[in-house]
Amino acid sequence: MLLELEGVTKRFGGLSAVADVSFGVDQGQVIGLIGPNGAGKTTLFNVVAGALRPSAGTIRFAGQDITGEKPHRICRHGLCRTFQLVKPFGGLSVLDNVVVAAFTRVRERRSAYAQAEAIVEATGLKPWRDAVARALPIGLRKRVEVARALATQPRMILFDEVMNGLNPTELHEMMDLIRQLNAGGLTVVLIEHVMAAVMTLCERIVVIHHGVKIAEGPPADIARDPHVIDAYLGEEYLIA
Amino acid sequence: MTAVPVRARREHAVPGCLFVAALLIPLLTDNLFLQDATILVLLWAGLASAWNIAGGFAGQVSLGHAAFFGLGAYTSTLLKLYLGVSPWLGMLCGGGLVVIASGFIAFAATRLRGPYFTLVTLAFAAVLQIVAARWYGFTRGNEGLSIPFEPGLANFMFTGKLAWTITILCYVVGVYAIGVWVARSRFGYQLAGMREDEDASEALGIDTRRLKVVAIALSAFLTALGGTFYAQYIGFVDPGYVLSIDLSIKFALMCIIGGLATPAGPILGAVLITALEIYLRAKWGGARSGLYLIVYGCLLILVVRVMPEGVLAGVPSLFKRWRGRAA
Repeated sequence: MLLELEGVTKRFGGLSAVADVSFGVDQGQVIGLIGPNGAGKTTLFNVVAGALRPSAGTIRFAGQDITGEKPHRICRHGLCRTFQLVKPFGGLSVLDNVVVAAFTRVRERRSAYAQAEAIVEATGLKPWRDAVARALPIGLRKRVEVARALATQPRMILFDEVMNGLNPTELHEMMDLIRQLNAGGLTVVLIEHVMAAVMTLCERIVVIHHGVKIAEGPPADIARDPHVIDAYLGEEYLIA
Repeated sequence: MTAVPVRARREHAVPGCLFVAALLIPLLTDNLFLQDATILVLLWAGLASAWNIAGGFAGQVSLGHAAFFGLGAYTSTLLKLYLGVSPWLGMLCGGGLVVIASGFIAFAATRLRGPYFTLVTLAFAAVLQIVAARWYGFTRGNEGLSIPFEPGLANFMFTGKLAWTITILCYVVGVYAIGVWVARSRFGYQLAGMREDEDASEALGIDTRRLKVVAIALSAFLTALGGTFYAQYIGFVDPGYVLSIDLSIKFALMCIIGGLATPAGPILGAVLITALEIYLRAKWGGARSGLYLIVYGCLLILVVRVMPEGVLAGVPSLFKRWRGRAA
């Protein structure tokens, strides 16, 4: 198992934003993490990626205990994350955004640029290579976020709502990209509200509500699960 | 990023011209005023470039760099006066001491962001200024310390302006070269990431705490060296100037006017600000004292209004806009 969460809990004062969540992700899987707004999905990502220290529980990645390590250490283990509210290096060009990330694995300027060029090409950002990141529309900024994560040569990426707010064309391109990356060996965990994407991309879905895992299983089962329908999907999804 | 190779080569033009001109001035003219002004421009250019590593590249805006400058100046001067240590050695001691002292600022940088960090740096320099002013038995307080005039290479003291120009030119070229290296290196790219977004940089595997410590230490070290160069050239050190907030602001201002986080920006800023300051003071300093400060202030406001990204990038873009309108 590549990523393993065991009884992960995050309390803010008296509030348990994440309570005793356990699940595992195998190498090569695409896992969805869904739940209503405020369910604790992003908090869980923050805990796994090291931005927050868990109050309890352990997190293992590739057999190593990474609980409470700093984000940059966790990234170096091969576990990278993207941000729901994208954080591009606004003043830098698209290419330089990726170069900064590529430098995490290489020391040479030339190889950092070579890798970044390849990733910019592969993520379809070539036409905007020299554009200043801050000036791009949201769809492209989300793609920069993905490209940058890829440049750190991760084994697994945690995508926090990379498909929200995209138009239908962009959405399909993003889905294709994730499929392609997964085919290349990348393990993926997605937080997503775009159900069509989650249902088609993921082989397994974890549902969180009020910080607690209420269901886990293949998409078809999740869509029929009465607890999930009650908490999140609603009756309409079942009919559709 | 500014480190695009083609543009970088063109950027060498501004500092290159200054360095050559500075070397020619003592050879071509006997005007002492002009020779002295040249040396000061070079010195401030080096110090602005040193500030730029922390305040520009790393985005850690410090208004306490006078602390490092003053510590450098005082360390070499006190070692010389009390123990007869050569100022060259004293300069390295000052640099070492300042690297340790910068740990305090770096510690603050890892906990505080933005204006809160800047406030701590301000307080740090203010405290040192009070200590140096009050510790009369050791530092002679506000009376200051005079360095005896004993010319000689070993004493870091020269009679001719040409020798001083060359000595200080070595300093500024060295600091500039470090700036150029930073802009092109892995270190510099990671600093750029940190400056733009700290959380994103951390998530992408960049150890931002370590970067801050290294950038601030390097910047402080180079500033301390500049402090010794200043003390040796002027021959006098007092807390009211070498540890003053005015000086800290001057370092920052030269970078902001010239262009932050570019190797050539602080050099250009230092030339413009120092030249302006010296010219205005000479022209209007005497009879209508204070008037030059008003003109100076207004010009600074104008530059920042018209070219918020600094003169280095601002002038070409203004020119382009003007040409676009004409066509």
